[in-house]
Amino acid sequence: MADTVEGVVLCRVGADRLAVLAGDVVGVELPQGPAPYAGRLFDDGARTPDDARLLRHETAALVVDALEIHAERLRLIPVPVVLTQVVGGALRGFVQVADALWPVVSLPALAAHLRAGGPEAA
Amino acid sequence: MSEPSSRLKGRSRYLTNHSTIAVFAGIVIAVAYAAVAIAFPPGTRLAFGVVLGVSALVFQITGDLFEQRRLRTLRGLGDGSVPFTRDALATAAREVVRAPDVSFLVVLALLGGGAVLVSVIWSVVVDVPRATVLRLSFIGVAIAPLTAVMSNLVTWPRARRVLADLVDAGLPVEAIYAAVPARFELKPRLVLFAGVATLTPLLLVSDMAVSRLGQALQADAGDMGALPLAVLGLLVVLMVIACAALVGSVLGAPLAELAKETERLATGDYGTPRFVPGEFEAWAAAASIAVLESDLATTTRRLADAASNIVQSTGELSEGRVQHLAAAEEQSAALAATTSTTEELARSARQIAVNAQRVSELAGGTLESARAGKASADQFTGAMQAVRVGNQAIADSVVRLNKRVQQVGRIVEFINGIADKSDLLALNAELEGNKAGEVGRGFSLVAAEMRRLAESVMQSTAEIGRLIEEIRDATNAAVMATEAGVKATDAGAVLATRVGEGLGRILDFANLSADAMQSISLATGQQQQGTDQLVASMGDILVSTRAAADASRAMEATHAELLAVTGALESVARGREDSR
Repeated sequence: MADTVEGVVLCRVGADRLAVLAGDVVGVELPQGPAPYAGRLFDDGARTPDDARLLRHETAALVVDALEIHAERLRLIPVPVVLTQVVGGALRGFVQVADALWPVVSLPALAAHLRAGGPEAA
Repeated sequence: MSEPSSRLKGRSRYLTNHSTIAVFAGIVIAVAYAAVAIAFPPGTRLAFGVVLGVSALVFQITGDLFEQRRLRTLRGLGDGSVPFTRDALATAAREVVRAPDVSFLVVLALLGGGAVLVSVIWSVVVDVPRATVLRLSFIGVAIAPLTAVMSNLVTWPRARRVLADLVDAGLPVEAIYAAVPARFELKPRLVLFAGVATLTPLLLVSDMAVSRLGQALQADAGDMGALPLAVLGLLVVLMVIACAALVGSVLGAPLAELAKETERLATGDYGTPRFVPGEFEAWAAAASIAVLESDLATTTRRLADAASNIVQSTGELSEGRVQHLAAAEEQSAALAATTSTTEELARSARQIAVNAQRVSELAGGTLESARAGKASADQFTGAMQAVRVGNQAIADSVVRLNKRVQQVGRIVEFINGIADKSDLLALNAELEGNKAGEVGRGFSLVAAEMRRLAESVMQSTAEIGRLIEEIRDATNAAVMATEAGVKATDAGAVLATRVGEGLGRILDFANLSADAMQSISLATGQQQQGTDQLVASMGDILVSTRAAADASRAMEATHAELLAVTGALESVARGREDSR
C-alpha cells in the first residue's frame, strides 16, 4: 500500500517550491535570528525577502518566501534511490498538488543541511 | 654865362642914374620957365646961378647917398660883400622893387624943398623982392611932382631889368614872387600920374596967366613977347604927352609880356615858369601865372605818370580781365553744378523733413506703446505676485496633504502589521487545526478564512500603500512643482519687475526720443527752409555770375577804348616833355 501524508505546508521560494510536513512545523513566525533561507537551495546568492516567513521546528527553523497549508490527504510519491542522499538526505518524497509536483523535505534536516554549507555540502 | 656877382655889379648905380638925370632935367625946366616967367632984378642972376648950382650939387649928393643906402644889399651882392644866398637875393629884390618909389620921393623932396631953399638963400644973398622969391619957390614946387613922376616912370624899366638879373643870378621865379608881395595900387598911381600930368601944366599956365595979367596992370612991366610963351606952352604939352606916353609904355610893357606868356601857355609850351617883371596888378598877374605854370607842369607830369600807370594798369587789367572772364565762366559752370547739387540737397532735405516728421510721429507712437507696455508690465507684476501667493498657498496645502497622507500611510502600515500578524496567527491556527486532525478541521477552515481575510486586508493595505506611495509621489511632485512654480513665479516677478523697470527706462528713452525727434523734426524743417533759401541764393549767385561774365566781356570794348584814350593822353604828356 502506497504512503500518504495529511497536512503539508506548501512553501514558495522564489520561482521554486517545496513542501514540509505540517507536523514538523511548530509555528509560523516572522523571520528573526540566524535562520537559513531556503532560497539558497536554488541560488547561492538569494536574499531573504521582507515578507518572508519563518517555519519554526523544535530544533531548527527555515525561512521561505510564502506558504500555505494544504490539509487534505495526499499520496507521497517515494524518492528514487539515486535521490535519497541529495540535500543532505532531507528529501522525503513528492506530492502532487494542483497539477504540480512538490518535493517534500524534512525541515530539521534541510535546515541542518543549509547550516552545514548548502548545496555544496550535499 | 657870367658870374652872379659880375651880373649885379653896378646895378644899384644903374637904378639911381635916372633919378639924377630927372632932377637935373627938372632944374633945367624950372630955370627955363623962371627965366621966361620971372623978371630977375638986375645983378641977381649970378647969385641965383651960384646958389642954384651949389644947392643942386649938395642935394644931388645927399639924394644919391640916400638912394644908395636903400639899395645896400643889392650893392653888396654886386661888389661881393654880401654872400649869394636866397634870402639875400630876396632882400635885394625887395630893395629893387621899392627903388622907383624911393626915386620918386627923393626927386619930389629935392626939387620941391630945393626950390624953396634956393629962393630963400638967394633972397638972403641979394636983395630980391619977396614976390619974386615966392614965385620962384612956387615954380620949383609945381615942377617937382612932374619931375618925380618922370623919375619914377623911367626907373621902373631899370628896376625890371635888375629883377631879371636877380633871377638870372639864382633867385627862383617862385621865390621872387613870394618875396615881393603884390601891391594893387595901379589905380591910385594912374590917378596920381594923371593928376600930376594935368595939374602941373595948369599950375604953370595959371601962373603964366596971373603973371601976364599983373604985367598988363603994371605999366612999367616989360613985355615978355609971344615967342617964349608959345615955347612954354609947347613945352608943357610935350611934357604931358611924354608923361602919358611914358606911363603907357611903362605900364604896357609887362602886360605885353604877360600876353606872350599866356599865349605860350595856351599853346602848351609850359614847364619852368618864366619871370615877367612888372608892377602892381601886373606883378600879381605874373605871380599867379608863374604859380599856374608851375602847378600846370606838376599836373602834367603827374598826368603823364598817371597815364603811364593807367596804360600799365589797363594792360594788367586786360590780362586780369581775361583771367577773370575764364574764372567767371568756370565759376558759372561750377555754380551751375553747385546749384544742381543744392537743388538735389533741397530735395533730400525735404525728404528728410518728411521722414523726420514720420519718425517723430512713430516716436510718439512708440512713447504711447511704451506707456501701455509699462502699464501692462505693472499689471503683469501684480498678477505674478498674486500667482506667487496662490502657489505658496497651494504649496502649503500640498505640504499639509502630504503630512496627512503620511499619517494615513502610517495608519495603513499599522493596519498592514496587524493584518500580517493576523495572517500569521491564522496560519498558525490553521496549522494547529491541521495538526489536530479531523477535530481541528473546522478550526482550520475558520483559520484559513481568517487568513484569507488577513491576506485580503494585507492586499488592500498594500494597494492602499501603493496608492499612498503614488499620492506621496504625486504630492511630492506637486510640492516640487509648486516650489518650482513659486520659484518660477518669483523669477517671473523679478523678470516682470525688470521688465517694468526696462519699460520705464524705455518710456524715459521714448520720452527723450520723442522730444529729440520733435526737435529734429523742427530742425529739419528749418534746414529745409534754409536749403530752399540756399537754392534761391545759389540761383541768384548764378545769375550774378553770368552777369559778371557778360560784364567782363563788355569790359573788352571799354578796355580797348580806355587803352586808346590813355595812349593818346600819354602821347600828349610825353610830347610835352619831349618838346621841352
